[in-house]
Amino acid sequence: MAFKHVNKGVRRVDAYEKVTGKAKFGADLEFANMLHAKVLRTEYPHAEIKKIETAAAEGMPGVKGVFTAKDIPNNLFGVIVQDQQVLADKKVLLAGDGVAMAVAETEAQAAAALEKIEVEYRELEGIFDPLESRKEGALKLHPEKDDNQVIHHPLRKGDVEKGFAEADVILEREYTTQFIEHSYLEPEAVVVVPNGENHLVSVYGSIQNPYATRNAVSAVLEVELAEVRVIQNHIGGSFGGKDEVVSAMAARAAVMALKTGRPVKMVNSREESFTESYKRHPYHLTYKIGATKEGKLTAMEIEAVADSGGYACQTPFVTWRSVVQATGPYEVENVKTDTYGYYTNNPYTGAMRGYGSPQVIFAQESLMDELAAELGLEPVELRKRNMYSQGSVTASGQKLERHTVSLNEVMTKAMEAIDYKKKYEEYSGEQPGDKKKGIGLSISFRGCSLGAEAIDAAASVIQINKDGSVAVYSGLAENGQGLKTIFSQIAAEVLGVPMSEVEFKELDTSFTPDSGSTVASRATLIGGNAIKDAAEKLKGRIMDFAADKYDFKAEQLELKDGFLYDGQGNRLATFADLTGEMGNTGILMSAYGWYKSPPISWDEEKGSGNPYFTYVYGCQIAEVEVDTGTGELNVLNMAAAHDVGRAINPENVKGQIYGGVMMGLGYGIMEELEVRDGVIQGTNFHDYMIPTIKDMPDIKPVIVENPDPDGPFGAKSIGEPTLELGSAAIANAVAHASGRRIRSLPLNLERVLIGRALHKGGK
Amino acid sequence: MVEYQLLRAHSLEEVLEILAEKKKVQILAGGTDLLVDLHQQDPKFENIDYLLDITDVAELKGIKLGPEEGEIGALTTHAELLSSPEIKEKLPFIGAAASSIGSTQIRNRATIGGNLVNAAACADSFSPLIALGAELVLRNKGGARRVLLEDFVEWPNQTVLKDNEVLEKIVFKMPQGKYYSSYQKIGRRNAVSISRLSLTLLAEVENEAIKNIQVVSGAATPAPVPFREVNKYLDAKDFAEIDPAEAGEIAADEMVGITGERWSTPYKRPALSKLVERAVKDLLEEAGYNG
Repeated sequence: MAFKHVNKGVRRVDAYEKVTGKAKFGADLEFANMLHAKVLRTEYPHAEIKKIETAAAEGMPGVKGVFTAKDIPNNLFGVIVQDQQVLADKKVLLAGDGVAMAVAETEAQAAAALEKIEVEYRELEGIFDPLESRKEGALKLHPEKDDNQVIHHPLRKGDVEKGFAEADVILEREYTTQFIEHSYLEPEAVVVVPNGENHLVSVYGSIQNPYATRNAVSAVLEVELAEVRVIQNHIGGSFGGKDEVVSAMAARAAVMALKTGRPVKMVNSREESFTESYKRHPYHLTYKIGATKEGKLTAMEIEAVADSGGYACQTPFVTWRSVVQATGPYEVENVKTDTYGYYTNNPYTGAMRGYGSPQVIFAQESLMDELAAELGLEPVELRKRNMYSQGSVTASGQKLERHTVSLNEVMTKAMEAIDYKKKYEEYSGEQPGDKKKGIGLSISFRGCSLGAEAIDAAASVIQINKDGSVAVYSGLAENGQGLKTIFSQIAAEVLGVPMSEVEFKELDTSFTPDSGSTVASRATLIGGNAIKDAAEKLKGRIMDFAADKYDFKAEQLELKDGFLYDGQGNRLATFADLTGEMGNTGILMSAYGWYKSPPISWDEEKGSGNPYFTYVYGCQIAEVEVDTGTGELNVLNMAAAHDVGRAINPENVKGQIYGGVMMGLGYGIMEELEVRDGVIQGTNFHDYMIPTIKDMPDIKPVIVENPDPDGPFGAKSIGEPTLELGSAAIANAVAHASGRRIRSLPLNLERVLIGRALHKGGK
Repeated sequence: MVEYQLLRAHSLEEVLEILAEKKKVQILAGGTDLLVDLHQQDPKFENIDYLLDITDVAELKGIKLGPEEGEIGALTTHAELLSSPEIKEKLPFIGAAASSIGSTQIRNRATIGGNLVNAAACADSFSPLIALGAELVLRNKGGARRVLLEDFVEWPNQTVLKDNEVLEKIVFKMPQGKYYSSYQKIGRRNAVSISRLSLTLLAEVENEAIKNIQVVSGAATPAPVPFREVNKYLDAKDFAEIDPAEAGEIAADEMVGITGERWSTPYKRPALSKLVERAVKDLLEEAGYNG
């Protein structure tokens, strides 16, 4: 199929305003009469609040109000479990819980007021390890619950005892992963304007999921959804991170805006952002795997324990993705998987790019290399003998047949891109000196979109104006991933207009139907289909009108480059004249688009069913140099091959690959939010290391295209798969280079040199 | 709230006048540490009445390397050090240390004097300059005094610089004859990285023997110091008698002797030992000795 706009690396539609600094972000917004607010956060990970004294703060210059939990109409919210406090009421559950807030004429006055608030606490014993939290008789952190368990997802297939009995080799291994900060460039910011434009409150800001934020604000204020309007601004990165933490901020600002009758702005400093925002879940993973001496897997028994921190947040769904994908993309007859989440008094954990997959992939793809070594097989060979192919059946019993299962293709192409075979052989031999090179790979399958988490549907609106310009609205949000560009390309492709005629509009919850959250790498797949649906409805109307007007059959006509053609290359009219005339004849030139995903199924008791309607496949390979004398680790080259179905914008796909590989590298070798007894050690980037440009390897992106029957123009997902593979590939490369198998992330200097981490103040 | 008056001096004389006249003056050079701490309202500034900006003072800038002696003005930036052809040719380890500091932006602003006066335990400028046996010229209105760099720091972030003094320049004797040097640094990433360990080795070599040796580490001890035991082991020794691995062990023992067993020792002991071993081995190789 020849495309005009789709499958082309067109320029980002929001590039100009961003590179020229014209784009307005949450912190840039100003409204007349605006107030500023700050939150007082506790430093105790677990404590009873005995008393909060606010009188002195209320009397401070410029202060318009000081508020606590008792001022919040409904203090509990949450996307899945409503257990998160807007402001801590009787107890603080994590160091960083807000306990009071002050609103004043200036930010400095609000900050000064916080210092005058006196809070009396009674410190409580805390739990800082989910393995402690799960023990019988452990202190209950949420007294209304039976125990500290947030969630348990079981999956059972076949008979693992039988499977292990058939095995010639059985390996049992433990792996651990760390807390990770999203490290978005722009810290959280919101402005809430009260009583404007027939809404009780209008919420602006750095918001990843406007509908989730609307749900939270409306629940907290105890008002109808229609009374809350959320308008998304340009966002400086999110990566899953600007959901609950921003919803809490918006709810707080909304309470203060209504109390004062004035717009209220809240902007977090980096330190505040580190202190309060949720993190990526640390996991404790136990894997047992059995295989015949020929390298055929016979059984896997898996337990993954996630630290949920003080609140449930996204833990139920994060650990659900883990249970579906925990075996990796391998055929195994006998599987027993259990994933759990437990409350602790650590920072709470939620959505972050990958969402429960990077942890299990690190473990399971490390394990495959360990097993290969045990069996005397090459890593690639062991994978080939077990990995999914067309028609394979997954651990949950899903037959992979509706889409192309391209694991072999992505693996082969990644290997070619980095010259794997030659390097593998070369580095497997003796290497003189302390500096050793190695190469390692990892592969994955990933369910696209929400799966059985929730109803998976999205909306769009397209308006054709009388001058032929096309306005596009989506219920999904631009979070930096390039959604505006992708959706504009799809609209332009269907309507046959130049990209310059398409105007993508900001998301406004009062205008576009609720499309759920912009998560799970679902925007192109689900939202793209909704855009296509609206555009096709309009195109149908245009073709019917034109066929009638020019006396052609509709299928003979063609819309291209902003003209109507007769199919013989003759122009009949301009798009603008034609659609203008339609508007003047009273034809509706707007359309709603809607897309609902194909059916899926899940049995929560057995962990069986068809949890996702399609999957993507990826392979990443890392080439490293390890200094075995000092523990220094350099990632020299990486190849990343991803099947995206169809690349709507190949340049954008490459951008996702570069960014995801880099983020995965940070996860793999240096990032770690150190939390000691519930308290974050170091709340800015001089303590929390993220990769710099000098740490960036040469990255070879390989786009693999096997169009999906359900994707818009065959497109699927790319955002998250790019991050989930790197840590295992690097760990495998390090083991190949140095012989040292590291089962905990990150692979920092100490782990690479002496095999264990060291912590300040530790023994 | 930290409050202060900002003063700007345009000559060394003005600096010295102000320091003589006024109390509670904090000098501002590159500002890459100071401005960050000020922004964070570090309580150490509560005692400051004046911030004295000396960035315009030309007398405090510049690199002069003579045949016998060399000097580096306190306000010389790391960027100037690493791009100086003279430094590259005659004192490459100084350039290597400068290039390992921070980022391009930081190297463009931050000064070598500021790095020394700030005196962080992990400051990267110390070990190469201590290896040179450098002295600091500390000047007040009454005149100047010289302090050996290794005596300058009393403990981290605390130096012997007096309130009425400014660090004017760093002076040192140029290495003579055939000499060899190296600088190594281990950080947690490849840029904008604080040293976990650094090491300078500087040796004068004559007739297949070491004549003068200085092995100095950064970030290994609370204040950077020469490794006297290693120096003793290597000094005036024929190449044939030198075991690089043994030199590494001696250095590691010496470090632990100074710091005691700390949380980081299980890593730093083998890593420092390796850095010293490599520096010595490289020296032998470069000097053409192959066992």
